[in-house]
Amino acid sequence: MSRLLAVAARELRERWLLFPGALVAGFLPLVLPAFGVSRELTPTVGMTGAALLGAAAAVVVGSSMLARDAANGRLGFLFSRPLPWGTIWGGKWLAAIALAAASAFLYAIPCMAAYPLSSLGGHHGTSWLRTMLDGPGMVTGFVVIVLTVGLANFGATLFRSRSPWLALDLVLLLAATWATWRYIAPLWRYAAPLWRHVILGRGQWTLTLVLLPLALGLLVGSVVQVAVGRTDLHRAHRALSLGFWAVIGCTLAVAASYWQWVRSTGPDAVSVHVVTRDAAGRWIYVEGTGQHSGWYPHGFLIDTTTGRYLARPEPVEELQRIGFRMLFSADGRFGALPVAARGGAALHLFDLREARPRVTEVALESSPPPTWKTRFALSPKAASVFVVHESGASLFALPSGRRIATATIPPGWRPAVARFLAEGAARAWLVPSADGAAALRARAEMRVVDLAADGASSGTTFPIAAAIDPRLGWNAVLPDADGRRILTLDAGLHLRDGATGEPVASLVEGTGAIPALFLADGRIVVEGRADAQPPSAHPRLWVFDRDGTKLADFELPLLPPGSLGIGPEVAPGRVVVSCYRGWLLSEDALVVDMASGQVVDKLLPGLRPTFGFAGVSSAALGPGSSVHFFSVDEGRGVIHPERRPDRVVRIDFATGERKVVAGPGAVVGERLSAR
Amino acid sequence: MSAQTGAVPALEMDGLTIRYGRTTVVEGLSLAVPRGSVYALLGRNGAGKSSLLRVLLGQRPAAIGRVLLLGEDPWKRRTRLMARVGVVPEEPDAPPEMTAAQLSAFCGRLHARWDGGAVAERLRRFEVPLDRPFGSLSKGQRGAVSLALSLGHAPELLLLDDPTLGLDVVARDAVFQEVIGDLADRGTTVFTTTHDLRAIEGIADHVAILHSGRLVLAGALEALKAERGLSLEQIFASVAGTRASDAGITEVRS
Repeated sequence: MSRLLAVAARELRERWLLFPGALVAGFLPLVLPAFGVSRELTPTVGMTGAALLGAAAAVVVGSSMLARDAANGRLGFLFSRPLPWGTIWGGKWLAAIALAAASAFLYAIPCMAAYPLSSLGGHHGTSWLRTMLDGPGMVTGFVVIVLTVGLANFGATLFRSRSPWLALDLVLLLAATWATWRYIAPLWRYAAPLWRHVILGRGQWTLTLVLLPLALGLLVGSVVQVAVGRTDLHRAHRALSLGFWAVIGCTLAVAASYWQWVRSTGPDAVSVHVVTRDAAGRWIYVEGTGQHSGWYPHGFLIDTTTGRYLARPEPVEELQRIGFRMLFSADGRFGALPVAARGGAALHLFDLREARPRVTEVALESSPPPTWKTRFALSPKAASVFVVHESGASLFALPSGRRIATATIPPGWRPAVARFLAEGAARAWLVPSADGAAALRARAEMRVVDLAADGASSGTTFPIAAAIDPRLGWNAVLPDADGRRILTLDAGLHLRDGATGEPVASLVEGTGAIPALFLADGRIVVEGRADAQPPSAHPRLWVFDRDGTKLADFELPLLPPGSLGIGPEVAPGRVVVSCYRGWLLSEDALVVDMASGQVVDKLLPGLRPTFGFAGVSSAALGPGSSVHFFSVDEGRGVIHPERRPDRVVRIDFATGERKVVAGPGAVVGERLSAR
Repeated sequence: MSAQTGAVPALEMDGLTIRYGRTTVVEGLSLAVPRGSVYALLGRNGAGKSSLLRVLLGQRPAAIGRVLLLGEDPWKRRTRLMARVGVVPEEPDAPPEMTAAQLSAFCGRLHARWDGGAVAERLRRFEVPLDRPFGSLSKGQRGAVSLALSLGHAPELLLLDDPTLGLDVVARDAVFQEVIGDLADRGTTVFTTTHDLRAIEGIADHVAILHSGRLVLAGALEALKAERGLSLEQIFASVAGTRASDAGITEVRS
């Protein structure tokens, strides 16, 4: 130990001027107020200066402690003494860290003395020293110093050796950058929150965690540099590179393995959050999270008849947040996943006609990158895709992606829903843009845009009863299966002509969200409002004919009352009505006959209709579809000690068959790889 | 101090090859330095002498072959060996900001045994100021400090890498007189590379000549001279293929 300290002391002695220099320089921030700088800024300037000086000292020492001494032949002085290489390495690193830390601390002393922490207010504490020593700040500071010294040493060794290994370093740097982008970046996006909140408990460690492998690599590299390279600079460079890249390589390999493991998760190991389905009920697309994969959004296209599944291509972060998922064509032959690619919008088009789905990436010609306001719809035969954004609506031919028709949308509108009326004819309903100040003067009007594959387009603005509440989100406009009629939530629920917006009937008066459903035969079911005084606690359903004439009004045996969900229609005239009562109370899901108002079935507790994604207008279900999907959350309703993740259950109401198709307990088949 | 002669040579090389990348600087070198001898390794510039010294000091490994310093592998046992070996490099490498006195104290902390008094006495004899930073001393004074420091722990083996290169006559005499007058009497083995043929002729009892990385001549100096009837300089010129002056060998001016 005494030899190590002797080596360190010699290094410090060589650079002793840094200590008084830092202390004197530390007074500079204190005179800033004399030059008009705000006194409140002085502590910030002082602490920033201390950090910068510490970093500069680390660079100076790091670049000279090994590489310069080796180049000048001075390292031989130590190597020709009875000093183990570890003592030489340790002494030099100890001195470097001490110099960097001491320089920063000495610089900060005048500022800390002039501005006690308690005088600054806020929640920083009362003592500068205690604040610096507590928590992750000190560890992070140490890692940053090691990183800076190590980087300076690496750079200086590289520069002074000028060996051919430099080329290899550059190649490895490019490879590591690529691997980081490929494997670390997704972990950062999806898994880092898991580390932060579950493993480490606090988010402040994230930076340390990210820097640690780099610092460790540089530290190990310098160990090998001294142990193997000794006084030979070329050899030292080679050893340093090997040590550093070995650590970085191992880190990347671990990250890549973890990433591959995450990606290999099947649909039976995820907690399903959202589901979209095709019209026939054969294919579903689910997204969910795995137990050990953080917030990585697993996406699976599942053939629910066989259990075979296909993991979707890697998610695009910004779209993942938006919530675009798969669209299905009405004929069930194609699925399409909107993505961003090459600065615009694109689709991953899944051809589902063959045993092994074929995936094609289709760039949509001259389309702006999708945002959370973009709406997509796939035509019934997947011959085209309808994309609506704030400034325009376009039809793109598939699978070429060629733009075949465009309609311009004037400023101030955003799409609410987009839908195909028939192959080659699409319609979008727009609501006033609700951004920022515009939301304060939201207009009581809507706009409908029609676009045909032959280029014909029309746009009509129509008045509505009241401005649509932006908080109602995507549910403010509900079109029927063929887009001929719409329901709008504007101070109540109103039935309107889908093409012109002309009012047909006012179904419910009042504010807030009102659940509603178009039945296959054209009738409309809505949650009714009690007219009697005092109002009944029981929820009510009102049934209207195509023209908005009330046909029925009945109470539902659902107590205590909760938030009502209507749909799907599981058999002609029979609708699932769900009652959500929050996270701790039980849910009920009843099958109600809309003609008699009778409850004909009660689904098992915990079963509730799956819900889809924003921005997607899949084909409406055909009248004969008897297959429906429900999610199961067994932990809800009671305080469950081992709450199980959400699963998806497929129920064929014609045959009574039910099976778990996604989530724990799902019977999964072969994992397909897309062609 | 160990015995002057023994079964284990002070320095032994067997088939030693040294390479820098694909360049071979020393090839197949085999020689043994008897304990207690003063052994001079001569060679032209670039013959591989300094590279050989680095291998002997455990600062880089041999590519092929074996090197034993006092019976041990210097690459693996460097730390232990450096307690028994003194080194005077071609370019004095001590930290420039330290004075000779500070250097002596610093080395005293690194060596288990250290005779600071003897170091100070040698420095006084060399007329080196103790309170001036090493970097501000003349080249001769820096060489003298290096020599004094290399002897502070009474080494069994002293390795000198062209210690008189660039020194004036007085400094050269001081160095070699120190070697002759002190070390030889104490039985310390001396292995030196040098250009100073005339000076070494009176001191060395064994010489070896390295040419283009290969050993071309080795043996007892007197026996070689008697065998060939030539001076050391003439022998060098004949085996190294050039006149000493052309090879960069320093001529001693009286």
